[in-house]
Amino acid sequence: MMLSERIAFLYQAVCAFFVISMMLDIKPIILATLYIMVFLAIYAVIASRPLRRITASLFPSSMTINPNPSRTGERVRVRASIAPIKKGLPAMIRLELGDLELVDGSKTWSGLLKGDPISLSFSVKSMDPGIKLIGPLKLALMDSLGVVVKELEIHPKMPIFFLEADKALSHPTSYSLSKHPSPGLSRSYFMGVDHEYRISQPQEIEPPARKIDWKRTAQRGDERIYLKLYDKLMRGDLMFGLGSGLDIILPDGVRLESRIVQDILAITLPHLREGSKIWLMRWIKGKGLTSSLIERSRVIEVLEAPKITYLIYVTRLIDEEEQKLLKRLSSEGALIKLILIDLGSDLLKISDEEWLKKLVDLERMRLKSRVDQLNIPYSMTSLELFGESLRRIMMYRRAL
Amino acid sequence: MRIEELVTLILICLPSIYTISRLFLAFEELNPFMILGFIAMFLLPITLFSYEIVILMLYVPAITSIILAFLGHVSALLGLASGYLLSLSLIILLSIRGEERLHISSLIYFMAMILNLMNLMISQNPLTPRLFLVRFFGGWRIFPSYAGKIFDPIFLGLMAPSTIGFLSSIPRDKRYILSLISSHGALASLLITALLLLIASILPSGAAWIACLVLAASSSLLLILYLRVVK
Repeated sequence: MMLSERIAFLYQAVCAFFVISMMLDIKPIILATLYIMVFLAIYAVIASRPLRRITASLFPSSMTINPNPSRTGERVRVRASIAPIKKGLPAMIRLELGDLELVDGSKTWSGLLKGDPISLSFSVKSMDPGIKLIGPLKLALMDSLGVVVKELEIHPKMPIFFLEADKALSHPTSYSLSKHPSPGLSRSYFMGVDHEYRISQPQEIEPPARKIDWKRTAQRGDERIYLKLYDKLMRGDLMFGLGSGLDIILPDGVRLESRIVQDILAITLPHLREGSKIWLMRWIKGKGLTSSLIERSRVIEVLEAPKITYLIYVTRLIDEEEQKLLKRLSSEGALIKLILIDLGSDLLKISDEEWLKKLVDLERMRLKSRVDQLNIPYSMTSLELFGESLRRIMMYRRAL
Repeated sequence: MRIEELVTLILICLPSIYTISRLFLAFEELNPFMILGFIAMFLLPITLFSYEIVILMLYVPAITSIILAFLGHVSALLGLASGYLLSLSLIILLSIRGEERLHISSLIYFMAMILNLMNLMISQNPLTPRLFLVRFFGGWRIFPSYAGKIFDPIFLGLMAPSTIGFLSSIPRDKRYILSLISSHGALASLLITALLLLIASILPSGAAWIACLVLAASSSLLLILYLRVVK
């Protein structure tokens, strides 16, 4: 609950005049300013009482984003609908866009709540690949004079996944029987595969005994054998860390971190579609790890990092504090797999001058010496091959 | 203009109307150019007439008074200038009507009130246009030290409806006095505030000053603590 912006500005201006008039002893102005100040304070107390009882549950809302995942530069249509149960109050509805660019439509609505559904419809785009957040959907309720405002968050943030056109991956849709199946369909605990019971159906050909639904077969007694059919689902938590040195801008103007998130996303999108959760942990200098839990339809900023058991950590090992953290996590029993980004080969594509080659060698040696101190399995890769490297780590879980 | 809006505007302008009346009454004789200047400026914000007529009302007296000044009759030019200045506080107040930003409205309102007090200060003795101009421009220098001594019970009394009129510009739409007093919460607040200020004003001078400070401090504290504005 707070004063509306225009009233807060009014209060400040009146306060300033009150002080000046007190200093000059201008009685009419003292009384007028004091009258306005006291009136606003008393009215705010009176008007805020009915607003206090209003909660977000009185404003059921939904949000649709289409297409999601999208491509960089492509228009994404966003539609937010609110069906207010509470009526007769002036309100303002606003959807935060974060890094997204508004293309058309309006992200705000203001007016009197009449009980009819309210909808915001607009298009956004992003030229930057990665996970972009839209929301939360906020509702500001006011009293009849618009003095006091109560802000409610009626819909959480939602992720929009932006991929570059050439990163749109094709994923196998059938179950693989190979020893090293495709990501998402393995029995890996961290990649996640689950079998969810769907239905029991009669089977004409004699099936393997483990698939027979014995109970139903016995109950029906129609001389047909019923089989248990399962839906294959990819479920489980995936945990990725984004370390230091990724905040540099690449020659094409995209941040290195965005490019990495984009590759992670391209590989994990099928998991998200089927209910997996992605923990994205970012290393921030001086702050440590910050965590976001990303699901198909929402993003939760988590203040405390979850217990780390398996982590794929992408870094350039710039910050020494980060190395201490990795050592600590490793000693606590977390299984960490480091992916070191060596920008050398990407740099040599621009120029192959001798001094640049030396620089690339130095960087490679620096990475090598730092990672050797950690005693954690790692893979050193160029930015170009990062996606492939990540896919292999996820698929085979092999020793690096 | 709707009747409710007109009533609200008149309420806001009451102290200005009173002050201008006092000034007019203080003049020894009314110069026709002074009245023309006053009316011409007054027509600008109201825009009741067409653009051409307003320009005519402004330029014809101005050019005539300049020609007369060159011919040796300076009183016409002085009268016109006095007329312009006389209408100033009212014109400033009328500009509140279209202003959406309340803090700007409050700045305009209090500046107009200070101008009114200044006019009250110089309307003490019989005036001529020349004397009015001298006092008006010279008065700003002595105003800070003299402001505390200006006391006019009628002006003070008119400030009350004027402030309530100003408060009626708080709603985003229907900015009339009626919409303010038709809200039960606002009406209760207006009455409670009036009662508190009445109690503070009947206290002895020193105690009233402290009471004003206490009231101002407690209203700010109330807002901060009750609404939890500071996070």
